[in-house]
Amino acid sequence: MICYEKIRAQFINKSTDDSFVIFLTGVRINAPLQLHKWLPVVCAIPSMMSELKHQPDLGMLHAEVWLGRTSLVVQYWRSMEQLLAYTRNRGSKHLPAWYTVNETIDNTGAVGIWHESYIISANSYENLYVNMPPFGLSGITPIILHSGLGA
Amino acid sequence: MIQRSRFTSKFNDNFVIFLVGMRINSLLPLNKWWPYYQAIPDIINELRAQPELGCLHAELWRSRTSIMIQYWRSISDLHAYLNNTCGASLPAWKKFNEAANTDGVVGIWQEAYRISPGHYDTIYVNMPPFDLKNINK
Repeated sequence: MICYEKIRAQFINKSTDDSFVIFLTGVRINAPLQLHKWLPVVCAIPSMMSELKHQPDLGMLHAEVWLGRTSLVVQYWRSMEQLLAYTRNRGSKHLPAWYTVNETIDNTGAVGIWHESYIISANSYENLYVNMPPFGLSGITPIILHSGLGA
Repeated sequence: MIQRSRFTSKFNDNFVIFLVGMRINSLLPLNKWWPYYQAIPDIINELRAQPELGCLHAELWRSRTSIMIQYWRSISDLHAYLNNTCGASLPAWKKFNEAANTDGVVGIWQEAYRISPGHYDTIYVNMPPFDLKNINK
């Protein structure tokens, strides 16, 4: 229940009836000078994103990216099964990148990797978007105009 | 400090992932969005200084659209903080709420997810204390 002191009428609240998956992932450049170690890993990100966007049947619904020394990719997936299937898919861009990571990551420490995946049940979340373009979950779910206190 | 090995983490209780941020829709005038931009570190500092509020950990990425990932003990703690008249969040929220009626210079977005034990997986390789790995200590 969102219940701030005042909620403006134009607020948009969105929900879906199905469960889905939030996948937070990224790369950390631990040793910036060891370009040859981290560049192949960082470069794999846009190619994976492109693959997922062009093949919606793989199960990714939407993604947002933030760059930095530690990068962040927020992905919304239809199910955990599809996310896991993609990570193990021999024809995907992910598996070669993961092999590269495994080869370089353990013995040098030049690049770090982090993954967090969360199964989100229906009715176990809430959200608000004000003055925003289609963004995050609001890009993939039906729109409900927020008309007062509560959600 | 980088931990040069693989880690995962498990949290035994329910918790909340809160994704929140702002978008600078128009760079000018600067004074329309700067107060909100400036409020973000104030909020993080407040949450870090007062762990009893219920925020377990926070990470921030800045860009035209910024994002804070916050890990909360419970949705009730999160709601209590967002409605707390003494906190750093509500004044910024009120100001935004008033301004949002008249201009669209700043956008705000937030997504809160309740997470149950056994409904998530994490992997960290060569990472400093970060996210869920950090809060399990």
